[in-house]
Amino acid sequence: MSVLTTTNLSKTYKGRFAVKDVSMHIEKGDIYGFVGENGAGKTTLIRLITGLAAPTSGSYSLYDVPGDSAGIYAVRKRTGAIVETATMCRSMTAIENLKLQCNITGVSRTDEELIALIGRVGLDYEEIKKKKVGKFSLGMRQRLGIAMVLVSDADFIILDEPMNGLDPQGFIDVRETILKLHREGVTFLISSHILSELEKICSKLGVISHGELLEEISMADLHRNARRRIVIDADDEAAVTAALRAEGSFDEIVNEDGKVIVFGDADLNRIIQVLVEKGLTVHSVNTLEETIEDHYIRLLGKGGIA
Amino acid sequence: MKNLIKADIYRVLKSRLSLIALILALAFPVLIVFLYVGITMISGVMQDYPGGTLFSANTIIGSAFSMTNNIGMVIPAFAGILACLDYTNGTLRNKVIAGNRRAHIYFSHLIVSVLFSVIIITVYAAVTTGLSLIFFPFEWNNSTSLGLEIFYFVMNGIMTFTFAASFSTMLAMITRSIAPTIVFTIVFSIALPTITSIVSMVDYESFKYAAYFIPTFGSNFFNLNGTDIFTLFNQTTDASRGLIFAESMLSFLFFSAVNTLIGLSVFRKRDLT
Repeated sequence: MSVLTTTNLSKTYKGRFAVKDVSMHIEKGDIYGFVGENGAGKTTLIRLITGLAAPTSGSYSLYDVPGDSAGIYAVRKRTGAIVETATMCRSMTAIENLKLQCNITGVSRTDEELIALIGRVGLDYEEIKKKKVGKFSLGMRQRLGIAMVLVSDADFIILDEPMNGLDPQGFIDVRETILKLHREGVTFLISSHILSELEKICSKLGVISHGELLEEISMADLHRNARRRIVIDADDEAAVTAALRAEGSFDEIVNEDGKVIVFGDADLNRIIQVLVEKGLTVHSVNTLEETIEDHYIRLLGKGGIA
Repeated sequence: MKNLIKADIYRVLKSRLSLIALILALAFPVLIVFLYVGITMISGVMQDYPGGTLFSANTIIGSAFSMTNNIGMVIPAFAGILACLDYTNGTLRNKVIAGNRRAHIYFSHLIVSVLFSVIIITVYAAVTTGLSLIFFPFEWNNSTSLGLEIFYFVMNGIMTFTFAASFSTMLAMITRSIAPTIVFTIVFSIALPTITSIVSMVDYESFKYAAYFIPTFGSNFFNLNGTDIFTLFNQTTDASRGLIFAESMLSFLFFSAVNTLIGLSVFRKRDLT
């Protein structure tokens, strides 16, 4: 079942494309990681699909309901989102903000349910019950923002940089909350700069740059297609490179930071055999797989390991 | 929209501004009435009768619903700030994301602004009236019915602040910023009655027609003093007063609708950041 589909979605500001012809697809049950540099168009796209801004051209649909139809308001009620930063009344306490969100979304929750929700996102109710949100740290506000999204039992949650301002424990708490909700059937669209965190939770990845979607790939495919590299730390780096090149069966050999790197599906046993035959001293041989970060950098053509 | 109104009322009730507005609505009448009492006592005319001939309760009560009096300027500005805070806190975004129509969001703001304004000005007017009647005499020598005149006066006051709320809501939705909303609201609150007064002073005959283009023109006709105005326009009967009251109400509704249409059309098309 399709949760979100965009078709050639574009947005221009003063004639400049912030988002250009983006066609993406999120299925029910996906945790869709949305990756891109600052100003790539991630937040603009999220604004378009949450109704905060109107597209210049193209279209989108939520649960197969077109974004420009009257039915969109009803399906938006199944959607929760934090766009850029969690927004709340700073002069109110956490529970008052949750009550306000209940009114906005038209759901009814008891105080006990709201207190439980506060605990679920890793906030200590006793510690914060009298504290105005304006005095919360960024991380605490971010957690409360997630609680506010959860108030309405949304089954599609959009989180724009949810890890911003969180400490390591916060990362873990948010990650676990996302995975727990995902197990309960919630679909996610998560934009983040923290690629290592996305890698731990995403089932699908969309890479956006300069407003254009460069790639949409499942994590399974990404791992399947990931470039492997073998890093060799040896006394005589030049001799190792020469020996491997002479062998002739390795695709790409690079010297980097005093190490020899062999890319592709090179046979590790064969490499070791060649080095032993040549009597070269080797300190370590490591096989590394391309991470989401490596893939992203390679896709953007910014050098890195490629 | 019911949920949005509930949310906005909750937000306004939790705001310190509401408490401040209520305190001012209670404090200003005390200050003003006692200021009049003080002036009267200093001038020595209270020896025979409290209130003497210097002031009457009519004068004090007559300005209770004025946009240019103390609370009259504060209320529209506060209503504008409360609407702006929804923008600046970002809670307005939450409403859009939650699937609420922009028109509903706007009307919820408008309704709550009107409620806030009318409640505060009514509290102010009630306290002012009560205190004035304790210390000063109220006289009614006109040919028209006092009951009707009070009804016109109160309705006119309520509509004045309904119009003011529609104006400050429009400003808040257009500017999205507290400072310009306050400045423009206060300037407007002062400018509108001032223009009305100037026009009426320059030429009463022209004022008759010009008044229809001024949203608060009814304020000049329903102030419980009224003798001059009554005579001037030959509105010395309940029927003639009723007619101008109806025109005044239509004027308020028309200009409030204009404010709402402008504000709503801007808000509906606006990209929210």
